[in-house]
Amino acid sequence: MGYTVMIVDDSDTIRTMLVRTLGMTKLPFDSILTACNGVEALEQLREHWIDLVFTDLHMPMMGGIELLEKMQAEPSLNEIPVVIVSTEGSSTRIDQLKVKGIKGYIRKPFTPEGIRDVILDILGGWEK
Amino acid sequence: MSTKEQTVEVVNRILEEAAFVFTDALMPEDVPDPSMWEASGVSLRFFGNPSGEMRMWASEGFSRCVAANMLGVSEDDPAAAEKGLDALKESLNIIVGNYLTAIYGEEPVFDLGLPEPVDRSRLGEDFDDPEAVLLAADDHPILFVISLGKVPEND
Repeated sequence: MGYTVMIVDDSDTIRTMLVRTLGMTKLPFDSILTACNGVEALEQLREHWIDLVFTDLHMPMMGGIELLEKMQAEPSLNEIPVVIVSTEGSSTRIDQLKVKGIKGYIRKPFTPEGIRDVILDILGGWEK
Repeated sequence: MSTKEQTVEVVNRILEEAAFVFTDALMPEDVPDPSMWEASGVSLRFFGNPSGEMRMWASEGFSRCVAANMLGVSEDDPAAAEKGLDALKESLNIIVGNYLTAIYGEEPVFDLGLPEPVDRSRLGEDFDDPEAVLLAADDHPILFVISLGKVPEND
């Protein structure tokens, strides 16, 4: 068994890039689910077991912060770690997001190594 | 380093890292005629101190090239053409986020809008902007304009 992760981003291009990049980390994934906004993500989160959520900040309908808040308000979802994947580089903003409860922050453009480190830091090493 | 030079530095770095596209100075003979240039424009607004907007113009060939590189497909793949505008929007999104940090540092907070298409009627004005940055990327001309201190009205 491997990890099951979800990618939430309104850009089809970024979702595809992230799926490719996750493949380059050489970590084991059972499943990679995708959603194009927070609303769609919540629907899937209620139906599937997810180990980790990667989400963009700014999306139509529901952005990453609101998604995080909605997950924190649901007992079945509030322990799932959320990692923000965004272009914003403000340390002030990142500190604010950490206070809100994010477990990690990946800045675009991202690398396989950066994503791998964040996953291992949050979910721990994987032993076959 | 001037703001214009910093813009060039950020654009070069981001297009290389995110889209595997290398930029260079555009030779005078390669500068397109804006009235004939079949370019698509995208814009991204940012709100903070200062607020403003960055606009990016590029040909369909460049958009397809960036999409192909980001998606990991060939430029002939229909997905590259289909996702060209999305790839252009995301490239601008990443450029603006990194530009703001490069110019203003990591302390200030900027709220970014969503990337949007720009009406082509604006191309001539942007082309004549004295602060416009015109580059060659994989043999395609690309144009960047930053409007600082104001957020233009919706088209």
